[in-house]
Amino acid sequence: MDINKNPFHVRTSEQVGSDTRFLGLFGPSVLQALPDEKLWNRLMIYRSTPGAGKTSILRLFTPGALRALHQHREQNTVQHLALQLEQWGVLGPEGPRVLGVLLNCEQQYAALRDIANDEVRRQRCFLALLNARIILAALRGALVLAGGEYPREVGDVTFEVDLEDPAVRAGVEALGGTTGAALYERACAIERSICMALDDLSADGEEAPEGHADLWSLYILGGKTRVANRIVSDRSVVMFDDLHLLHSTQRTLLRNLLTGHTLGVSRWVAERWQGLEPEEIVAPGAKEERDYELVRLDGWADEGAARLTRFEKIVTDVANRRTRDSTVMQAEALHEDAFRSFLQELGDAPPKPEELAKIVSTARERVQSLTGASPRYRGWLGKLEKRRAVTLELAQEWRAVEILVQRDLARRQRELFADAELPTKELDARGSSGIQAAAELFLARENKLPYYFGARRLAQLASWNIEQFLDLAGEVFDLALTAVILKKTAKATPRKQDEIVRTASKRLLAEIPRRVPSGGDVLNLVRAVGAMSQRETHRPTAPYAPGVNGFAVSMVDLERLRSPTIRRQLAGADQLLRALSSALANNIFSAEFNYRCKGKLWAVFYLNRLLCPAFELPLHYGGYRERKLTEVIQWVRGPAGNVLFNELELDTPD
Amino acid sequence: MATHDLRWHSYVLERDKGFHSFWRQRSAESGTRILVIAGLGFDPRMPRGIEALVACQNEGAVDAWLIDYDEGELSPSRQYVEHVERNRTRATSLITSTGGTVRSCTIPMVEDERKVGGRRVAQLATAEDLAPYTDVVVDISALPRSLYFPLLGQLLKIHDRTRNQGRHAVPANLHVVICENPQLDARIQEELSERADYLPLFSGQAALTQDQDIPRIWAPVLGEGQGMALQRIEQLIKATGKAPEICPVLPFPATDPRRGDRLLLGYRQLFETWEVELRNIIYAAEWNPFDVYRQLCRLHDRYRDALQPLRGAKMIVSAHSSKLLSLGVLLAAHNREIAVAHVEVDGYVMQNPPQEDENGEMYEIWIAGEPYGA
Repeated sequence: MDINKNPFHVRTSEQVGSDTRFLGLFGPSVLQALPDEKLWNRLMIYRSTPGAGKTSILRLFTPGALRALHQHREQNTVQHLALQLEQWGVLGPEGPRVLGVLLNCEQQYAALRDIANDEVRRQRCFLALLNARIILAALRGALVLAGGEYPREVGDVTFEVDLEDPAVRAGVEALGGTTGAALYERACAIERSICMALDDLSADGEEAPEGHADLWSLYILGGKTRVANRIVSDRSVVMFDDLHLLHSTQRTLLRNLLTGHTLGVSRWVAERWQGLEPEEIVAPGAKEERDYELVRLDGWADEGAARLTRFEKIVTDVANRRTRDSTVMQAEALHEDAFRSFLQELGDAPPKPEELAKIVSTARERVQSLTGASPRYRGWLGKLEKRRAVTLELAQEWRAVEILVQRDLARRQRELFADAELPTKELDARGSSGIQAAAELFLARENKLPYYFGARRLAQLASWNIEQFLDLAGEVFDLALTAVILKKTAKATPRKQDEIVRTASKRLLAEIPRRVPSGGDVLNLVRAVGAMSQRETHRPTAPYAPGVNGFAVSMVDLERLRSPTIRRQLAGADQLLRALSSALANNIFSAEFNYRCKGKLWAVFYLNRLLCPAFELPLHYGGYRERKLTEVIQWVRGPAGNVLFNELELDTPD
Repeated sequence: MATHDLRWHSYVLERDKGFHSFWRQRSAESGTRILVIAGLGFDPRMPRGIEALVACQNEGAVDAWLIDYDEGELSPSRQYVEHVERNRTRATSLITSTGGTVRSCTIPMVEDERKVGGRRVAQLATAEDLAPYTDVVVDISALPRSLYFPLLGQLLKIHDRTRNQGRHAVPANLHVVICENPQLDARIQEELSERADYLPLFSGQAALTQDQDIPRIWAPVLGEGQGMALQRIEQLIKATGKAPEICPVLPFPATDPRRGDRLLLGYRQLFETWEVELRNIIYAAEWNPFDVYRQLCRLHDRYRDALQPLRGAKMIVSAHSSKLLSLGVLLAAHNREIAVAHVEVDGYVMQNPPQEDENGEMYEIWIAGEPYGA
């Protein structure tokens, strides 16, 4: 499998073994989301859907990554990153100044509720296990910063603490001291005893370990860290990844403890939206956030028109880094914009001349048969008839005229002089970029031309999610890779790109029931929205050009959905709330709340852009249809709406 | 590797006609008292094991515990409640026709926001309850992995403990029966929960962060359509350490000789992501759980010995294939204290509703008792 290794399939945060390689693949632009002035003193909560880059950010601050960054800080690929961390005080001239302690909440914490009968004991076991693991991770990290060997040299580690502080004294007592050896021994014993209790099914819950009353480890990490009398860090940051995996009582307890203002240690938390109650997910921002700083890593919806350009820039940077990482691609990857150079545009690989001629003539004939002998459109048609070059652009213009004629036919009956010739300038006045875009989409569908291709559309299809982009770009990169191995030019034609996208789209749709909670209901919702959008998009008059790919409910209706009292009275409302929150938390839908339109406020829910190809929909934002809450409830409860074309095959993936 | 420390080096495995003749003969022995523990699901194979055992019975009564697992009100399996009831009626009438009794055991799968079915089912059986029976038969045809792994693990534990205490082993004989039908299996789609975890009794201390530096070996026993589950398990394993060395187990020999190749192609992208070495791939017979068992034990012992200077290795297995092969995983995990990672299921959806007359091939696997010197 080494021959054609595809670096796009590697996840920086998780799969990249070597810290140096991780840094090479890490796109520093994602750090722009971090508020630098608040990083160290307040509880920081990084929240997003899966795959937005939370874990990568946390990993950057782990001792291994920081040490590697310091060693290679002069290299081009990491220079900017090193500079940024220098400004934040994370890197000093001699090396890292921060001890990052990363803890994953995946590990059995929720199951701790089984080993004790009463709530207090359960909490104490939870805190004890957290304390043990924080200390073990801190000891390991300190030795990495010092270049020592874990666990052989844990005796060399000392945490500077203020023993005047009673909380610190209590922590030191509970965890066995401030020296590495004592802390290590106690932490290992605590962790072992709790994990053994978890596996003992004959226990009745009365003999659970004693546990801890507080997150004592944070008091121990409040100061500087020494290894063999050398200071290796000025401050520590304790980072909890995947907080949403904890039991709700554990999450609440931990958050409360972490918001403490007297703690000397910095606290970061990364979580997915799943951690919140469905009512919170479907209207984020409703709760006032005072005790912590919330960073929404997928908060692109708030950034206005520039967001696609910025996101495209970030993913292009990521793609170029991955391309350069490929050993097979070394020669090809010299290009500054390495990844984009693989992607052919339609102009690079146009249809054959005879095929093109047929497309243009069909588009023209459709308009002619629609207008018949009416003098009304003579000027419009004449303008295009003059064009001699047979190009796709011409076909698109004919298709755009067809849309305009359809619109005009729909309203001409109301006009006094229905047969009067329309001036040519009216053609430009009535046209718009939306109609041009709809014409492109219609023409592609009617002639089986590729539509989903090119760097910008790949970025759009990522739906603001870096992992989704990597999956898609990785498949395109596979094509280039195969070509290079076969000694051909590393190019992905528009048709191939389009095929890859459509396959990925159907795969994502098919995976929904297995991938997200309440998957069956979410799939019902997606199929209904997809079918509705398809009907609205492909109407002959293209009334919402370039098309529809989402729905909206009024904020009033959304508030009703959030109200438990109203949900009790409205059959299926609970089911919809669960499905909607699950779809949002897992990036199946994205939402814009309080969107003002027609004098009302709306909550707009857009399909994940990668789902659009399965329904032949455009990728832009802004195309939605308003629906009543009762209708949306029917969507989630009932069978999916009718899809006009593109038969969906819900095969099991793999 | 020496094979003498393989608990199931010699084994008893019967299928089809062999199944029926085995149970006719066994039932004819004097003093035989049989308890069947079966899952009460919508799967049409649910009553098949009881039907077969009752048909082989001459005159003695057969008792049954029906595990009625409740996946919660949100489970998509709720739509098959009629099929569950039909299976309950059928199983109950079969058991009562022998003069036996039926105990209904309700197991909540979800409680207090988390999956608890495995722990609850393992706490069902006590030595006292099982002592009257000569043969305890666990029919796993309609039981999810998250239930039959802890259940069988606990029964084996009780058996070993009572035997080691010098008493009569309880249960005296432990059998597993399976009604295998790959086509039917393929129609049942799982709705996965969001995360993987180690099964109760089978954590193998894999979650200890103090052992983070000990290399981890992960052997997924592969079947079709398991990409999502594999990804979640890999994430779980990495949460306490570096990426594991992955040794996929593919079915070969198999009814379709190219099945292993197809699986390999299907998982190509995942394996590439995880940098799986081709030389790590292991093959095990598709129909023989003891072959999987042997292969996994060998793998475990080889890594344990080779990595001794690094404090050994922690092995994790996961079952993604048929119930037969999953049983092999269970036996290896029990014998070598290997961790079993698993993604719980929120419910099942069946393509085409289950039909009453759907059947499969019966397997009998005797895993503890007389043939093993107890």
